[in-house]
This record gives sequence, structure tokens and C-alpha cells, in this order.
Amino acid sequence: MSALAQADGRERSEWRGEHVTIGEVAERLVALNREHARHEHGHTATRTLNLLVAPAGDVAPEELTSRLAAMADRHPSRTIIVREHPAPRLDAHVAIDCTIGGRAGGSGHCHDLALLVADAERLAHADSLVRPLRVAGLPTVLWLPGARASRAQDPLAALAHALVLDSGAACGAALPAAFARVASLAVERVRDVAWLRLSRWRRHVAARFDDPEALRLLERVERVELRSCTPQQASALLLAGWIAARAGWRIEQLTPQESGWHGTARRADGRELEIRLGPPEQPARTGIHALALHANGETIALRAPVAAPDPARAFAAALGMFDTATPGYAPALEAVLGGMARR
Amino acid sequence: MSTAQAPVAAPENPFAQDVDERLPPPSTLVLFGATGDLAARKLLPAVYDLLADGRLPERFRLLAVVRGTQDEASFREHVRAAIDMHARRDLDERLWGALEPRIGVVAGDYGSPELFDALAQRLDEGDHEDGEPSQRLFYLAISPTFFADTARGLCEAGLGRGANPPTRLLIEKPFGHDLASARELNAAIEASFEERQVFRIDHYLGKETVQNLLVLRFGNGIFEPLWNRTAIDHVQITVAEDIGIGHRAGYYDRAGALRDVIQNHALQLLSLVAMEPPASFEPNLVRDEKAKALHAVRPLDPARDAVRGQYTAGWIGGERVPGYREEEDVPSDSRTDTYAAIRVEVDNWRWAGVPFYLRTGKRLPLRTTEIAIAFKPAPHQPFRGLDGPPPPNELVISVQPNEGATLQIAAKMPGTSLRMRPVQMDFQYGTSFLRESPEAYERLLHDALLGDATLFTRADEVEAAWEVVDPVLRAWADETAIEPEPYAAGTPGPDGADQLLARDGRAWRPL
Repeated sequence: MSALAQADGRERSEWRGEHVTIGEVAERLVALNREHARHEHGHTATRTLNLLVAPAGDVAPEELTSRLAAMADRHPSRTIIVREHPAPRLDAHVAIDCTIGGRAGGSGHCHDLALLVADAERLAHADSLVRPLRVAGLPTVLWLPGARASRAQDPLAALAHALVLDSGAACGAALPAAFARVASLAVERVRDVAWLRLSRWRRHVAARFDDPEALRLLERVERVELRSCTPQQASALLLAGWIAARAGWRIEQLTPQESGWHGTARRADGRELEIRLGPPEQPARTGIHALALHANGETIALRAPVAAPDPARAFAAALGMFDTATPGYAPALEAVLGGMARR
Repeated sequence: MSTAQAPVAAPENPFAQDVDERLPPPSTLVLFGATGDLAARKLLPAVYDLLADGRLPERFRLLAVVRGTQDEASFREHVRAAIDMHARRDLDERLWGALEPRIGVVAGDYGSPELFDALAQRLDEGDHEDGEPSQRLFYLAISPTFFADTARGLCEAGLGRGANPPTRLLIEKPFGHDLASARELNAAIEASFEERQVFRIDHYLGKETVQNLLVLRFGNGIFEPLWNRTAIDHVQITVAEDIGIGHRAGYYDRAGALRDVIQNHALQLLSLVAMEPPASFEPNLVRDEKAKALHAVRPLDPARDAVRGQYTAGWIGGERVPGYREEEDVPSDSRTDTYAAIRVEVDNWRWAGVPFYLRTGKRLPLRTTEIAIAFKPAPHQPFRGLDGPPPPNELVISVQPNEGATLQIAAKMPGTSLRMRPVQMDFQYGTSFLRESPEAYERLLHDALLGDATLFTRADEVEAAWEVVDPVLRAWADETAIEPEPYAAGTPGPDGADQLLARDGRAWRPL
């Protein structure tokens, strides 16, 4: 059954089926696209990637829907979501959403989405479900929402150019497991949103150390302090790990504490330094808002870069990085995991 | 035996390797003409949008040079209003709170040495407050008549050649009003600033599609083998405006369409279409190739290769609009061209025999800037007995308002008979990448802060472009020359422009 609904300058055509075959789903997807083309609203079928989504069981469908809706304005894609249910069958929901061009001569754009809900056995072969639905020739990105792994993760990862996840979905004592999960994947293909949230911070740090005086002070640092709110602990740890890795320090231990993390690192010459991750001085602040490197009474202090808040920016960047490496991530992750393993 | 020690190399920044986009170093942007229209509509909003995108250095100052007595508080209000009205992003109080205290004013007369001394002192004070020197960018959003004197004033105050901290000079077109004046201006500026310090802005080069033209040509394997006289029949470059001259009669009546658009925007687009692939995207290598393309343009014969027109009253968008000579402050006997079209041949191995047709005009039916690459038809048509051969393939790169590219190909119409129809393969920035593109001035300001001159015009390019149009300008300046051909506002231009192509058996793309 298909329906065409119009509201708020948007159109949606959809179809639902239970006990379906993937061939039937593929046919419905083609039929819905053709039906839309016939409405002659000047819609352009707009896709720059195949976005596969394999959420962990504890990720609420509403949360997924709202994240995807926020992305629709940045990454036009064919989205294929794969979820698990206990019944031994494949159910599907196919939808095409179009934004109608707002003015004469303007064009709208359309996205299509397929939700596949299947049993564990089918999900273990999720690649066979997804292959017939992908748009040929477009890059494939696998998004793994949630802190735990979906059963479809491994078969779909084999199809993907990039794996998008957010190690920041975990915090506190759950972080070592979240980082270990990342390390179990092909790290060079991982686009960790927690890392990409740091892009402005990393630019900021790099710009600060263009100053030779700051570089000389780096050689004498005795304590690194980071202040961040709890949801940003993963990013703060990765920032600390990156600074340590690039400064040539080996993180010896990292331990969760009531309001952050504490650790030590050792330089190549054997001297020890301290790493502290604490809460923000002003509780209302979000994100990482201060970094300080202390050395014999001197301090390099960096405050959060001034920029407009854009909570979806890092996720959008992750989806767009199917062919771009994330230099610095692997050493940062390795440094943090090393410290966590030795605590 | 020498006791001199080897210099100690500065340690390398270990963090730089992992950063895809560098932040500019600490900078002060000094804006001459800060209360003008360009500053309000483009430059001040661009500063704010760069700040909002996290692309400004932590230590950034905006210093306005104003004539008259405007104080800091009222100028800051002016900046806030400009951002509120014209920035891409909504005004965020937190960001404004970070920017506002970094905005300062220096007042004085552009011709007075005291102004430049006061400016130098103010810049030093800012550096002292911040505890480190910042590079200084002087943006001249002022009448070109002040360019040379301002450059000299800056140099005499120690802010030009050899300045430390480093300085850059950003200037807006027009760079002269003919070849001789452009050479004179370049020489005057060169006396005060080194060429590598001078960033000449043609804002078209900051547009996403113009940069995409380079990616389209040199990032795709399929186009470059066809990008030559073997496959291309001709090229059309159109910069059409539906608006009139507004309140710019004073400038426009002296300039005209050929100077205002063809000499800069249109010839810049031509140079990007016609240039050879640079060895790399190092600024001077790109600009070398663009300059070579302009130098390869065959000298124009004004009578044969150029057409000028002037709009008369007509209708646009259901509104009656006056003719050019009826516009405010335009002399009733003005001979200024509000439309110009030229036929250009690029005399080199790649383009021999391929004409480039360039046109621009005011009060045309619509606003569009596009580059149309018309390919040669298939050499043999096996589809006999049909309605006729399909139209040749065309690649149209739309610069504005709908940024994108369209390739026209022939396709079989569905059905049992073999009938063909042209169809378009579309790429539009607005639908393929749903993110908003940065404004051209954001890109250009950011590049200037980083010292990347790729998208700025070098002195030799400017002069080469004037060399192309100079013979036509001289012919048109002759009082005995034929007057501009009238065309009604809302029509695609004078008949003579159609004849320019009809002589070659071609026609303009419809407007």
C-alpha cells in the first residue's frame, strides 16, 4: 500500500509490509521513486551516499528518527536501517520524503529510506539484505548508533567505506569498553564523532603551538588539565590522548574518578607528568571548555574556541568523510586505551 | 677556526600534521571604507560568519578606518546592524560578545599622514595588549581614486614593503579604467607593497561554482580529453543582470558594461575555462596559467568582434522600468554601454578556431551567470528518417543564482519508435550538497588571512585583461563612433549581439 501525504512543504510516500522479501522491498522503492517523479514538482532525487544504520537494541527509534531528520538537510542519502525483532520474518517500511521547492523555478529534494526489521539469523547476513537496495556507484557509510554492537554490525561493516560511531555515547566507567569496541573495528575506517567534535579544538591547539615559545614550554609541561562536561568525556580523553601522542608522551595510567579522570604519562627522557580531566568550573557550560598545560609556574591556557553552537556538525562531518582519513585519531585512541589498560 | 654556532632550528609543531584546515595566525583586519555599502552588505557579515564557523584566530581584531568623527560605540552598533541584516547566520549574543570588544575605530583623512601614524600606533597598542604581534590586513573598500595614496600612506608609516609584523593589502576592482591606468596603479602599489603582499579581489573567484570549474576540469578524467578544439564548438560566457544601475550612475556612466564586468569577471571566467592544467594548485602556478590564457587572446577588432548596447524603457517582471538615459543622474545624451558582447579567439594549440562569446548587460530578462561549453555534434548520424539530428551536447556551469552544472545529452524517448529528445543531467549545489555554501567574501577573506593568493588576481593578469578590452574601449570612446545600439529593458540585448553569433552560424543561449 502506498500513500502520498503533504504537510508543511514536505511530501511523503510510503509503503509497509510484513513477511516480505527483499526483492519486493526493492521493487517498492523503485515504484515509489517513479510515482514521485510523476508529480512533476521539480524534485531532484538527491543522494550522495548509501547510509546504512545498524542501531544497538537500546537505541530508541525516536532518537534515531530525530538524528536522521537533522542529517537530511546535510547529507542526502539512501538510508537503510536494519533492526532486530524476535519473529522469524522480514518486515519493511519504505518511505520517500521530499521537500517541495519553495519558489517558482526552485527545486525541491527527495530522500528515500528503507527500514528492515528481521530476526537474528537474517541479521547475521544483513549484507545480503542491503546489497539489492544500495544505489550503485555511491559510497556506503555504516552508522552504528549506541554504545553496544548490533548483530548486523560485522556483515554490514564489510560493505562500508566508513564506519561512523560515537564513543561519546558512553561515559565514566563504560568508556574503556566503548574505546575497546572501536579498536576491534578497522580503525582506519572509523569516523568517531567524539573525535570529530574536537576538530575546532585541534585547530586551536595546533595554532597555539605555531608559536616556538609555546613549543619550548611543551617540553617542560608537568601537568595537563582539561575541563569538560560529562557527556564530552570521551572527546576530552581523546584530546588528552592526542596531545600526549603527538608530544611524545606515553600515558601510563588513566583511572575514572567521581568527577572525571586522572592519569600519568611519561616522557621519552623518563620524566613523569600528570593528566587531569575534571568537570567545568561553571556547571552550566557544555563541551570541553578549557585546556591548560602547566610547567614550572608557566601555563598555556586555551579556552573553548569561539564559534556558533552546532551540535549536529560533528556527526554531519563524520557522514561526509567516507573518503577522508582522520589523521591523529589512531594514535590518540591507542594512547588512551594504553593508559586505561595499565590502570 | 670559526667559533660561530649553527643557528638553532625552531622545533616543529607536532600538532599541525593532524589538522585538515589551519587557523589563520593572530590577525588584525583594517577596513578602509568600513561604513560603506560593501562593508555593510558583505565584509562585516563575512567576518561574523567566519567567527561563527570557528575560522578566525583567537586573537583577531577589526579596526575600522573612518573619515569623519564616528566613535567606537556607534561604529560597533553599525557592525551589529550589518551582521543582523546580512550575515548568513543569526546574530548570537555570545559570539557578538566575543567580537564586539575586538572592534576599534581610527578616524582621519585618507590623504593625511597623521591618519597612518595613528593607525600604526593603534596596531602596536593592540599587539601590546594581546602580548604578541598580529599580521595586518588592509582592506581598501574605498574609491579606487584613493588606492595609490592609501598604499603610499601605509608604506610611509612602516606598514607596507618589508613591514614586520607582516602586512597584506586587499583591493577591490576596478583596478584602473584602462590599460594605461592599470599599469600606473600597479606601479604605484608596487612602490609601496611587494606583489606577494597584494591581494586583488574579484569576488567571482570566491564563488563555489567558479572553484568547482577547476575541480570539474582537473578532478575528473572524462572532461579534460574533450576540453579542446577537437570536441568543443564554442564557449558562451554570460553575466546577465535584470537590475538597472541603482544609485551608481556616477560610477557606472564612466565605466560601462565592458569595464564593469567583461574586463574582470567575464575574462576571469574565460581564463579558468581556457587555462592549461597547472602542475599544482600553488597560487602562482594557477595564476601563471590564467595569465597565459589571457595573453593568448587574439587582439580584438572593435568593429567586427564587439557590440555595445544601451537599454531603453521596457518591462521586467511585470514592472515598467525606465531607459538608461532616464535613470537618475545619467546624462540624457550618455553613450555608455549597458550591454557589451565580444567575440574572442584564444590563439593557442588547444583553442585554435574555437570562439568564446562573452556578454553582459543590465536590465536583461533575468539574472544569471553561466558558462556554456557547446560541444561539436556527432560526426555521423545513423538515425535516418527522424525529426532531425539531436541538438549538440552542452555543458552549462551555472555560477549564479542556482550554482551547479548541467550536461545535456540526447536520449531515446520511451516508445516503440526511435525518437530522441535532449535531456539534462543536473548537478546543483542546493540539492546535491544541502549545506549552505559560504559567501564568496568569507572564502576570500579567509584565504587572505591564511595568505593563500590562489583566488586573487595578480598584476599581470589584470593588465592582460585590460589588453584584451583596451582596443574596444578606445574605439568606443571615439566621439565619431556609432552610438550604443538600443535594446528594450527586459529583452536579451541588442540585435547586433545576435548578429555577432549569427555570422558564425550560431545563436546565444536563450535568456
